Amino acid sequence: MDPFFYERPTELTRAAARAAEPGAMIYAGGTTMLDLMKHKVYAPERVIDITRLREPGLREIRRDGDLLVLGALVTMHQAAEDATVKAEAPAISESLWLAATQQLRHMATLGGNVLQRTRDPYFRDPSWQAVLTRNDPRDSGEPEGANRLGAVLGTTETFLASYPGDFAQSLAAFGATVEITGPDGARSLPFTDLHVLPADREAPDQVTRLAPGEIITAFRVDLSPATRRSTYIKVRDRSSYAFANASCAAGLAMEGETVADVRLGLGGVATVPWRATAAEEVLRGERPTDDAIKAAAEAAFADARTFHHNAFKVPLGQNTIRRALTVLRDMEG
Amino acid sequence: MTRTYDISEAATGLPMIGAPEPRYDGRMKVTGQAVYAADAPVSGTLHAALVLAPQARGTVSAIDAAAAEAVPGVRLVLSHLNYPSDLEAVPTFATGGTTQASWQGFESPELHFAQQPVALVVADTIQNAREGAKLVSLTVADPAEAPVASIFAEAAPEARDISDVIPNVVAGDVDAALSSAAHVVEARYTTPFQHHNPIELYATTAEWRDGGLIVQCPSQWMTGTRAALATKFGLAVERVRVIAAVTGGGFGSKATVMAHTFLAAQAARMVGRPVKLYLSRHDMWTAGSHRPESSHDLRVGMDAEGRLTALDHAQVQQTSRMDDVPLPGTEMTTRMYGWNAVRGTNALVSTDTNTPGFMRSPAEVPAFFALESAIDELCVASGRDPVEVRLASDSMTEPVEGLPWTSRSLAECLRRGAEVFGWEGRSERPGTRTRDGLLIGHGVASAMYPIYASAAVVDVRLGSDLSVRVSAGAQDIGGGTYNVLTQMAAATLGVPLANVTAELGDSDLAPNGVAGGSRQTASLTGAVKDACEKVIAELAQVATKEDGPLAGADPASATVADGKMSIGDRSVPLQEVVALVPFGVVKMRGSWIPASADPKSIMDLYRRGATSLIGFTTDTHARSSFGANFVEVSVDPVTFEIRVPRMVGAFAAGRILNEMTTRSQLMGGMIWGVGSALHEQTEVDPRAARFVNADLGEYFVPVNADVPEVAVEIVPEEDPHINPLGMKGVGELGITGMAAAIANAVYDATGVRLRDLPIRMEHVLQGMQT
Repeated sequence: MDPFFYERPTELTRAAARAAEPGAMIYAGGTTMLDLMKHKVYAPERVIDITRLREPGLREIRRDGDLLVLGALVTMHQAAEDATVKAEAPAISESLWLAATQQLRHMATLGGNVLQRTRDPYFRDPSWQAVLTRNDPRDSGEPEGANRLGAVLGTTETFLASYPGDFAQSLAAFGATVEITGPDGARSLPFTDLHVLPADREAPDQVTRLAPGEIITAFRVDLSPATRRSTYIKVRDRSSYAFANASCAAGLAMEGETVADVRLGLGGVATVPWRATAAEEVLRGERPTDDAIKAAAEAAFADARTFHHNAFKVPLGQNTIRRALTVLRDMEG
Repeated sequence: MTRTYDISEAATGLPMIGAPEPRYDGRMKVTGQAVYAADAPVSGTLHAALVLAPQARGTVSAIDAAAAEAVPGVRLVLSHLNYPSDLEAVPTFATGGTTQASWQGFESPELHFAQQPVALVVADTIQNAREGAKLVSLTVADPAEAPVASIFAEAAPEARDISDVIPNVVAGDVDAALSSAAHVVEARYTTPFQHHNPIELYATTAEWRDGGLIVQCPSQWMTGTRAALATKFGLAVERVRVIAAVTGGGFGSKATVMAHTFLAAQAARMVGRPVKLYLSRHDMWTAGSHRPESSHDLRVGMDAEGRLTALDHAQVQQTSRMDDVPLPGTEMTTRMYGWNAVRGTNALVSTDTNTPGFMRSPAEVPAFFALESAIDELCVASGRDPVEVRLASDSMTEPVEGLPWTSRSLAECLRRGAEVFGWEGRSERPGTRTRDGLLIGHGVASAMYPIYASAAVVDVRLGSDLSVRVSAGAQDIGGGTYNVLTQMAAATLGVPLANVTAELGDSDLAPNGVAGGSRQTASLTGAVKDACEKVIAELAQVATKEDGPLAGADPASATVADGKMSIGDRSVPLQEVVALVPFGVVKMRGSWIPASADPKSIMDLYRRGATSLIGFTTDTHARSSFGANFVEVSVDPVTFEIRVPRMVGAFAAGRILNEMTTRSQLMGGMIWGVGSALHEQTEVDPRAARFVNADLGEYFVPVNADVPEVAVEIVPEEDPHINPLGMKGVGELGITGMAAAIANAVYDATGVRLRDLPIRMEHVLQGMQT
């Protein structure tokens, strides 16, 4: 790890100002960032530790009518365990529970969690640059290399590295809003606009739409029947401590026999947190029969692009959607 | 010459299944008190870090170390530019020597594999060493040829016949036997690159003192490491000392001496200070060995009565361009059942990796995955029960040379395992057994591991307070060697277990062979017994002197028990006898040399680290432990996740000295088998011939949640031919049948036959959708 300046401000505005300086990175739980610094993927000159910021909202989970607000410094563990989250948006709690390990969930914060980078091995070891002729960005993954865990949605011909998180899929599914404070003040953004699709990047390293110094302060989720009847399905190679090969955050609201509202967020199969709006459209207003669910699952992957080792992610992703929706359909509603 | 030992409890003082004593070093390890090789403080130590070349082939044409040398605290940048040219090449283990590979340091600028260490930066702190290492800049002249990543790559060279190294095994006319068989299965099975990943990382601290060399490094082989260092640096073996009091797992990875140990020693010599080189998990993927890829073409025949009759097994295995490491899997498969005719052949394919090596049950894990899967396919083809077929094909004589097994309890293991597991036979149609929405499959496979033996030497000291110290330059790699030594000495000397301590892991102690190949317990205990008997004889001489408490009695008939020495009906407290010994202590060196080994083998062991290995077959017998693995798998029909909710292993390995450590060894092997079958694969980039997932975050092994129910059954077995105590090894046995048992259970659950490891969800998905 390279030497760096370390600062631990207590005021959000000061943190934003300091984080806007060249070479600065924001540090919260550190569970991904320290790894990447040790691997020399990140080499910040300044580390701005925001864990001592005094603004109480950063550490709160608050319900205000049908609005759920999750502070950015709430840990994964706290949010997973929160009674309101469990009752009002179980998919959020489940997506956190099924991620990482007990130790990591106690360290990692919600704000940092959504910013975790791809687990693509070519990204995590910069020495690949010396042996592979690679274009920027370095977090693209390798179409001709080991890419079993690569994405099939939101890819380009040369970019297939998958977004690894779980929590973000439930935020995407529920149409959450992300609250941001920067050197120029506060703003908000639809969560699905936070991450930049590879094809839309303006610069190779533009992973998110956060400007220098901008700090995520909270996530806002509108609670609804579809958040209450929701679940998170995670499919992986072993029973714990593994990233998803495919995952689905799903919410369902019924009106009599037909679907009033359905929400689908997909993980493990896409380059960014992914909302399967096309699949939602197929089901909305329909009876959720096996055939309708199957049609929705197929619609979700209509634009999929597969690579050498990851073609299985299309049927696997479809089946993960089918599993999630079947579970919700058969739930007492 | 057939030799039969009296292994009875009366003769040996040992029960056939010994008490379940907890690990001698267990508490120390789980409370963090154990001092591992890299933990031991050495005054004035400098720290080192490796520079790895990312290219798999080519020549390092320039090294720019100026930036590294400018880092404060950097003392040395070692590379081929300043590496001595007069260091001796030490023979590799595969050629009867002690080293992991013929690449042993910076002798040349040539690259043999990706991530090969090409420079070592030595600094006052580990941080500065690593900072310096990062700043070393390499220029590599590209080779004409692209590297070859895998034996399965299109560009892989032809397989080379190695029958001059491992003779083909041929008995009977296998082609005729197959053509007259009622059922024949012909199929190819493959296994991937895998890495051992013991928890304790590789490390070496080297210190030159008084013209000699002291090295602390985790090692399964103290005597061999000492011999290797002595040869490398032109020293007498007495000038070299290797220390590792405990190890945090070895599994074969620490059996042989790796290049980084030589590099640390050379760096220490150049800087005139002790140097510690502590490898990262990532570095370990190429600093040491791995399980090579393999491919197995099998033809297996069964007669109309459901008896296995013929096996034609052609094994192709990966090795490095530098070294041939042949793992003789077909030697075992051709002898496993009462075949009428067999042919076993072996071939190698050289690719651009570091030299492969010994990873827990190196020959058996791949070879028995193939054989025991093929047998399952025959059972499906013939509609027969896999347990019944194996029972019908059991034989107390191996079929190649017609040698009797010293003991063989395969049938008892199959029956006992089936009973404990609740084996109901295969489903009539695969894919029809369900529970809670999951497809359930049951699978079985036989397990075996040959019995090796080495010459062993042990010192036993009995003190005036009846304290006993057992010392050997051997190693406890987690199997409970400390325990068996203390238990054995306590039983033989008739003193409480609490009186006995053991010391291992220091090459200054009595020379011993490698702690690998499941041989150490059976070899060392013979030497402990010999040393203890010499102690008793010495005490009997003293006790029966004219003025002794047992004056006039015959010393040859002395026995000890419960702290007393008895001759006939006279007895005396042992402590009184010890008090009469000059200097008040008795110290004796005991040894054990396997019956058919060269008596000079101990001298070879001492000087060269030669292994004096007694193998799988002798003139009179075939030697192996056997067992049976039963596995239940569940497969989610929607998500295709494969899990192993329960497994049962039944094993027989002769006398069991410690029921608890034996059970734990076998359980560990079975759990590893789940990883080997379902999780573990070192992926290799096809263009760069470089390992991709060199990190425990991406290289999967089972977690606790993956192994909810593991049952180990120890089947009693008496073997009067194998050695004086009737003991066989268990360290490698538990894993050998697991991969096939799981593959067979996956077939039972889904109807999909998968012949390539690891078995993953996409393979089941693809199979079930077509």
